[in-house]
Amino acid sequence: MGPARDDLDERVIQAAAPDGEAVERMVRAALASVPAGTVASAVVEAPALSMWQWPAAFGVATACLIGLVTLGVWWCARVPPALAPVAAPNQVIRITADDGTTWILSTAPSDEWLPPGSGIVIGGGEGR
Amino acid sequence: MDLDAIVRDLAPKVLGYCTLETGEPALAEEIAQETLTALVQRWRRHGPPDSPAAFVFAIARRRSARAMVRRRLWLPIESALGLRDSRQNPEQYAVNSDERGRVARALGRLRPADRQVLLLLTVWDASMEQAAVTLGISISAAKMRALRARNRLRELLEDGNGTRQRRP
Repeated sequence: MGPARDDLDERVIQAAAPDGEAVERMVRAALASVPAGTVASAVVEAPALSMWQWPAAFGVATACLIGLVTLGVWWCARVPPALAPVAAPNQVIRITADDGTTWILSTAPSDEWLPPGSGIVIGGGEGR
Repeated sequence: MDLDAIVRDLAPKVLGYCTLETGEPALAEEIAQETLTALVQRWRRHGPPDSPAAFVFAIARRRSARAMVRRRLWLPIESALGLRDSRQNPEQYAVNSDERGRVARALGRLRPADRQVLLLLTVWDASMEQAAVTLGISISAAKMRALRARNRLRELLEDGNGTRQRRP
């Protein structure tokens, strides 16, 4: 109950005084909107599920979803990405000078293309 | 708690509140009807709320605010298209021309936050503590708003600003 009212409060209360017929009409319609005895929803009455009961509660749809996710992860791990960087091929350039000297330039390690004992000095600019 | 008794107790309060918030009896009845229906549905499906009065007030306040926004948005369009008759219907004329209409118009000129505290204290017959809890504010803030609302309302009614037709 509120505090003692003054004249101003009484004027507000009088201004808010509703039509009795409208009130009765509203009450009847509201009470008839949901039949009495309607059971509470399962959402409210359902007991709390443990961690291991959740998958079973979700059912087949969850199992299918988990299966699809697992399959996708496996597929991505198995096939390398299409845009993975590819090592550039080694290039070998042979240049023969007027005096018959052959220059061989390559990006590959020397033991992959230099014949043993060829006597060529890498980077030295002189060969036989 | 008995649902029927609570609905019958809250019905005149929510209808009076919506009438003063919207200023339109037909719209107020529609909002109050929806609000009470929401309470009954909540009660019978999920059990009673902690405070039925606070539950009903929160819904009524929200729906009244939405209705007023809709009205402000559509009123110019309806007027421009000629869909809304600017003349008052007999019910609206009767409401606006009497004491009730003067108070309603003066209330409509208050700040919404101040008006809601005043309506809680008067129409809902709530205590200052209940009003503060319902609005989610401190008791001192509720007291301040109530004082400001009463002073402003008194000024408006005394100056005749809440009315366009002053009684002879």
